[in-house]
Amino acid sequence: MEFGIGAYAVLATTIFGIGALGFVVRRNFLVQLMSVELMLNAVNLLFIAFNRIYVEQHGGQSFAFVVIAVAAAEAALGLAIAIAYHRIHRSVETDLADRLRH
Amino acid sequence: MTALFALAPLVLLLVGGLLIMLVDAFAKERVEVSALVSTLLGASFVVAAGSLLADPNPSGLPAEITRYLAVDATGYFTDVVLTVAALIATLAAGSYLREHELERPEIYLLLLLSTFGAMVLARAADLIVLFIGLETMSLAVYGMIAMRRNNARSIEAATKYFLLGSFAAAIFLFGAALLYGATGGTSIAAIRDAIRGGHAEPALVMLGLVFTLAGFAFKVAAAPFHGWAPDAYEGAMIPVTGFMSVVVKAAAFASLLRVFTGVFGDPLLMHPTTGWPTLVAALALLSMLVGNLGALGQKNIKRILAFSGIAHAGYVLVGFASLHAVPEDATAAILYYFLAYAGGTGLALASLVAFGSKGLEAVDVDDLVGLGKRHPLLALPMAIAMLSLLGIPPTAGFFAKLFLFQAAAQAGGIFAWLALAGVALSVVSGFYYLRIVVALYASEPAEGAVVARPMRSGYVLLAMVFGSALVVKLGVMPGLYLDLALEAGRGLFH
Amino acid sequence: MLAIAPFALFVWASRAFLRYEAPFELRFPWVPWLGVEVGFHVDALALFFLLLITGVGTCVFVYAAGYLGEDPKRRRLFSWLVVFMAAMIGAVAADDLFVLYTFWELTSLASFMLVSYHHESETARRSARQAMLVTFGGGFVLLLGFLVLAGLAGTSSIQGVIAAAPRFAGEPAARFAMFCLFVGAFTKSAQIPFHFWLPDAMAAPTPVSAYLHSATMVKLGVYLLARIEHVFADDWLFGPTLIVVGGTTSAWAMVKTLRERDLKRILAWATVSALGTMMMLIGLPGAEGAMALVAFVLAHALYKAPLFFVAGNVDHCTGTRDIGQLAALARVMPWTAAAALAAALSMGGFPLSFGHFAKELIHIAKRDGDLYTIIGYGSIPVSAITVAVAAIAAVRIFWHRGDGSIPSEMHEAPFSMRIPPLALASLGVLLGLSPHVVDPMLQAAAKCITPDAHLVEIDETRELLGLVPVYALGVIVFASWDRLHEVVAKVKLPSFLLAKTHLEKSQETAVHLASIVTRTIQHGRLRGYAALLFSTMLAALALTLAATLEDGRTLVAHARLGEIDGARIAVLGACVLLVVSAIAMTVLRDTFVLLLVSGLMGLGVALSFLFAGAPDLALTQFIVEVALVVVIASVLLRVRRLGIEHPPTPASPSRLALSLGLGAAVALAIVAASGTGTASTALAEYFGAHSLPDAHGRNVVNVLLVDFRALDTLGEITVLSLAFFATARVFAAFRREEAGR
Repeated sequence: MEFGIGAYAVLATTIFGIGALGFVVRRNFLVQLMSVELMLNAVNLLFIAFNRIYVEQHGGQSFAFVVIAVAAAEAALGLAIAIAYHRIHRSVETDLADRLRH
Repeated sequence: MTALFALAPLVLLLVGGLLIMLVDAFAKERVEVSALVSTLLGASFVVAAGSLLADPNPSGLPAEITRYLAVDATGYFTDVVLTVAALIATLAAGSYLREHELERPEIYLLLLLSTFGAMVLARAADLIVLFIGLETMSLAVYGMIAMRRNNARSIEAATKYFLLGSFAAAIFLFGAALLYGATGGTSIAAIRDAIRGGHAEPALVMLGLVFTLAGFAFKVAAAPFHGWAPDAYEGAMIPVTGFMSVVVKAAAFASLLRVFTGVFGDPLLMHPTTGWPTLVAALALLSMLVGNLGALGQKNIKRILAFSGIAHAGYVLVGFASLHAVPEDATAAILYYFLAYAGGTGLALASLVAFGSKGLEAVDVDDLVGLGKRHPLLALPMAIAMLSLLGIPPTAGFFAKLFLFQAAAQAGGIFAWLALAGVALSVVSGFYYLRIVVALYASEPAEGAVVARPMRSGYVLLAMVFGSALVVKLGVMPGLYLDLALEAGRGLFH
Repeated sequence: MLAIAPFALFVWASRAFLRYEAPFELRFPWVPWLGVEVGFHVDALALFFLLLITGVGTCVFVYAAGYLGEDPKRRRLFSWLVVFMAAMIGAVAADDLFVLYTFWELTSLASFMLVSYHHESETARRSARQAMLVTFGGGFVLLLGFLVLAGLAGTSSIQGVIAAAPRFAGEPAARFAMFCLFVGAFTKSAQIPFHFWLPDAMAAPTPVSAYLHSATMVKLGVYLLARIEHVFADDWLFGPTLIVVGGTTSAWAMVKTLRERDLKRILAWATVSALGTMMMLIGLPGAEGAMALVAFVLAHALYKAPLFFVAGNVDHCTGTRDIGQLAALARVMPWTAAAALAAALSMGGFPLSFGHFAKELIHIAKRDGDLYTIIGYGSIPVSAITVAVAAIAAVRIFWHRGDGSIPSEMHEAPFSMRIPPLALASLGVLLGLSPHVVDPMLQAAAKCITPDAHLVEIDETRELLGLVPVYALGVIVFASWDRLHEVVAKVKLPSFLLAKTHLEKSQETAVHLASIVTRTIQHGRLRGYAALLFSTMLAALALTLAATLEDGRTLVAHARLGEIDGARIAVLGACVLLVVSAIAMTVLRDTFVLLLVSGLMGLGVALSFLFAGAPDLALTQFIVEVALVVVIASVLLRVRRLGIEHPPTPASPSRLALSLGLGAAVALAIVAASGTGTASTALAEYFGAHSLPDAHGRNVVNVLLVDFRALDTLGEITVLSLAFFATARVFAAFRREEAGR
């Protein structure tokens, strides 16, 4: 009466792919940040799903817990950088950042 | 207690960093944080070097520690490399920030904590610890770059590095999740045993390998995962550039070494034609090409060093590609290369700091014109650094390249050709390294041209003397260091 | 004062030579791992070169003291001269290929530092860079050759390589190494096509030109090839290559000589020509070649260095080196004139000079074998121009009454600048009077090159007769020098003939190509970098999957999608929620709506955690997600207040395809791979049983985190506090700034 691991894996991979796609096609700093969060969520999902195979040590759950916390920290720093970015460009379009090139 | 002593280089940094934070917060007067942090890094360096010489493979440590953090000769060796690089960067920062009126104590603390993270990353024996070390290191670096909030270039650099870095971290994590799924373990030993024992699903393992390799390749700035590097290096302050280009790269490489010899050390996975050496060889070739060609047309010295860093990542990856044939020699060559690269690049960036003063910063190659004629001694470390990065004896870079290419030649087949390509591209790299030497010593500035004016500051001079001594010592008497690297290499394969 | 050091070494080397019996060796370990030792093997050949280095060195140091006078940079020049001398000594004494290479590069470095002593013009700077590129580039190729050679022989000791040579003779790798060594030697010894750096290096002060660029450093390439001749002597390409390259160089350099007006550059081209002759001599078969080579090296050092000193004196006293303006200097500079005359005698190969002796030996060597007679005749014009150059340096500028406008207040050079050229040049004449004094020395040195080298009987009259056409032609060239110069200088050489142009062109092309590459790859756009990163991964994944499939594993066989039996509506709902919101994320434009969607997605993940058996993680995820939404919303509000617009971005179909492709590929693989897992409950039971008594906790995961994985959690707390710290500083700074506004 439950899903196979494969289903979770497919789901996680799809979300991961969509997050990656979002990161590549969107040019809004915050959306890109959310895309990364999406990818991390997918990773967590995968960990939790696989944890069901290897219940003995709960390694996957521990890992997922760490990922959640670190992702939050990352997001906080990202937002600070986003604000700094916005102050300079009056926008959060990352395509505007092309001073440094070639 | 033994565990505390064995991990003293790390413990020192963590506890010392917290203490400095407290002191800085509660002290009535201004605290010379740069001096404190440098001292702490120096102490950590001494302790690491002492442990490496005295007892590089301590025994009797509780498994609760060694399951997560490796305590071995390789660990001490990377500690030495990382503290040396961090020390040079801190000393350079001590001069740079004051001269350019950017002095803020936080940056030193971030530097310290980032070094701590790098050391954890380099020693991690468990993917969770690895991820924590990676993030500690990276977050602090993002913070350091973004420190100049009103500087459009800094913020742009931070944006690019942060977003791409998070992206790459997610990719790495996905790989880690796949490996976990394949084997049920998060520690390197557990995953390795599962793979060796044939309990792992090969497809999952291979996918995990590709994903983790991509994550590492991003951190070490190997082409084609390098896009961020020139931009981020250029936008960051010079000392931060120095820190990023050496500490981050060396720590990521050290971790790559542990993961790839540990987790993927299986003979099947390491097979020279169907295993990961081919992937790594492709990365190496691309990095050497992109790095050396990219640097040719650059004017900005930080960008030149960024591309040079990509090229050097390529050289190191040549060593990784030959791990399958001569594991111990290649490991020793890689470790030795870290030290040489840390000395060379750190020295170059410290010199760059010393060459400029407020309003007259050294940015482009043209700013250095004639500097060697006006200040022959001050310019010498930069020349030494360039020769070392190029690989001219009697500097560190010569032996570093020699050992690496020798290992690749022993591996034979496509890896020997890779070494040949490395030598050929080293000739190309002469164009941009020697350009700087020529600008320093064989040129005169045009009439009325604005050139950089060197600053007067003790910190950076100390860094330059230290770096020059290291680079020349490694080039003239490499024996001791090579033996240490060999011992460290052997430790990994026991 | 500084001259004492080289002089003492010179005395020591002479003594060693006089007592020479067997080579002496000195070795101590350097890099045991590679079997590299700091090994020195001083045999007669090495001693011969040591004598040259220290003897000429003594003169150069004396001369430089007078030449530099009170120049503020003299200390720097002297210290580099000392470095150079030490490096030269090391290079000729070294027995290890890598030690030799180290000293070899050190001489290049010293040469660069000494040439850059004064650089006025932009062209001089460009030349410095070219010279450095050529010599260091050649050095790398040489190193490659050494590596191959050491690999073949199994040792990096030169004597060891020579001993092992028969083992690997004829292997293609050996030939490759040979050509690498050729390139290295040719760059160092200024052979075509790497010859142009030597005349350009004449920007250096005279003592440097005399020492590095005529007497010692440029002969290092000759030394190297002479030293390892044994190893490759059996290769049929060895001799002919050297003869062709050396011969071409020596002829071409003479043509270039005619184009010059600057005395130093004339001498420099003559040096290039002489080096070409030396290369030829190495390539010639037979034992006479070695004898001739050694004699010629000595003769060349004894006449070319004094001539450079003379040029320096003339420049020093008159302020010009243009031979058109110099005439009748003998009156004012009698000592210099005498030295020039003695040196020129030797250079022209006139009887009673050591140069004559050397020239005779060369002729004999060339006569050996029918084919090489042609070369002998071919080199007559070259020798003739050499005679003419010698005459110019000695006769024309000192005795010829020209119409040149010579400054009136001229004077002879100081004492310390008169002695060295006189000493060396007169030594050349003295040895010419009685060549038997040095015969044993030359023979011993030549034996190190070819073991069967022996004294050559010289038929004096026959040789003299052979040289008569040379002298005659030389006088004619000298007499019509100005006319020849006009004609030759007018000929505009097609630029494709000039190696320098090719080098510069190829560099320009490389830089141009490189900038095209960087412009395409390094465009500065974040998303482009991400796309590159991503597509590379896709490619790698495809490759890996292909490789795994080849192993005979079919992914489909492992696919167990059928396991989704009796799926619960709720779980399915969570999945649908996730997917829909994920897609919405890439499509939606309004950031607020997007944020809400993202929040929903987080909740979806939390929900699926719950079903996957991780309730506490679900709770954590839920809390973090809510906090994140609130924070981002506040940031967004701030950004909105400041007013930003989002121009719509069309999603590129190719990227969409790329991403979906990746997703599908990975998904397929995972499905295939993950079906095999089987749950084991033993440890779960362990933790379940032990978490309460051992760690006093009821929640297994929490216990795991704080007790069993305490170190991880500690690290995590570090990251969190660090991030808090970094973020707080960045935010605090904003507040400070806003308050300041």
